[in-house]
Amino acid sequence: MFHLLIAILISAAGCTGARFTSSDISQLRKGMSISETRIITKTTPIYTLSFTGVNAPDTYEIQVYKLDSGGYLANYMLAYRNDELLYWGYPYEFARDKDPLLNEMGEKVIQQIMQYKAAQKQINQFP
Amino acid sequence: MKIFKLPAIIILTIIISSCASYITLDQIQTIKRDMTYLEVRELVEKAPEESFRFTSNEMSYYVEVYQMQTGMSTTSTYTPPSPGFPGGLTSSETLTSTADYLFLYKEQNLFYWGFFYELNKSEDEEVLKISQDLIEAYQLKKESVGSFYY
Repeated sequence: MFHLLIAILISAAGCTGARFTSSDISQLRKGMSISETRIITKTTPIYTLSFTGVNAPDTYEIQVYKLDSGGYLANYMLAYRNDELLYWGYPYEFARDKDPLLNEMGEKVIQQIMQYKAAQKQINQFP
Repeated sequence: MKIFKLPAIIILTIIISSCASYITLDQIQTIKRDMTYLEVRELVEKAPEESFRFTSNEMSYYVEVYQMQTGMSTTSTYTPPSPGFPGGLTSSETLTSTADYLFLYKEQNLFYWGFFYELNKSEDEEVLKISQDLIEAYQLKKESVGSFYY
């Protein structure tokens, strides 16, 4: 469905001491803009992936955050279409959803994360 | 004795979960619908804590249940100075909280996965229809061994 990967941004989150926690999730609403959700998440995403479809003008973005549950950190994703919050959840929720668009978005971002981690591992093996 | 010249505060961390009997959310992020239970087990690198079959609406289902990590909490305890520990002793204990997480298979393929509390709010009509039978089957399974988290 997505043919062009525009950008992957990888940033170091968590340097500010701010935490994105389970209680913040209840404040998220469909249609929120990226700048509005950033106020709720209080921190920057660790990964951002932007897509565009060849046959459609819509642009999509997925942000991956580390959701903090008492120090236990797990990937948590926010997906936007044309800067409006479309869906949010753990990667397994994206994979489980009946909407193939969400399945594909989730799968792509997880693949990118795993590729990035594998590359980092290789770099670390050669000081 | 030198052995008693310990630092003022000794941090002793006991990680109860060191023998990790649970799985994590990051371990299941590549799981896809229609996987077999063997493929799922390979991903989570563990055998399930419970497994059972049940029938609902004349259809047979197979369920595997794991403990999923949902959080962590740390408690610190301070013990006042004593002859053995002149500076006192601070110990911290990290506990992992978990919840039951199920993988539901229909005709040997993964059909649904999630926490038990998610079943009743599923957008999948079939999952909604069978959720009560599934929960009851799991309760029966757990009754013989202990607590049931739902």
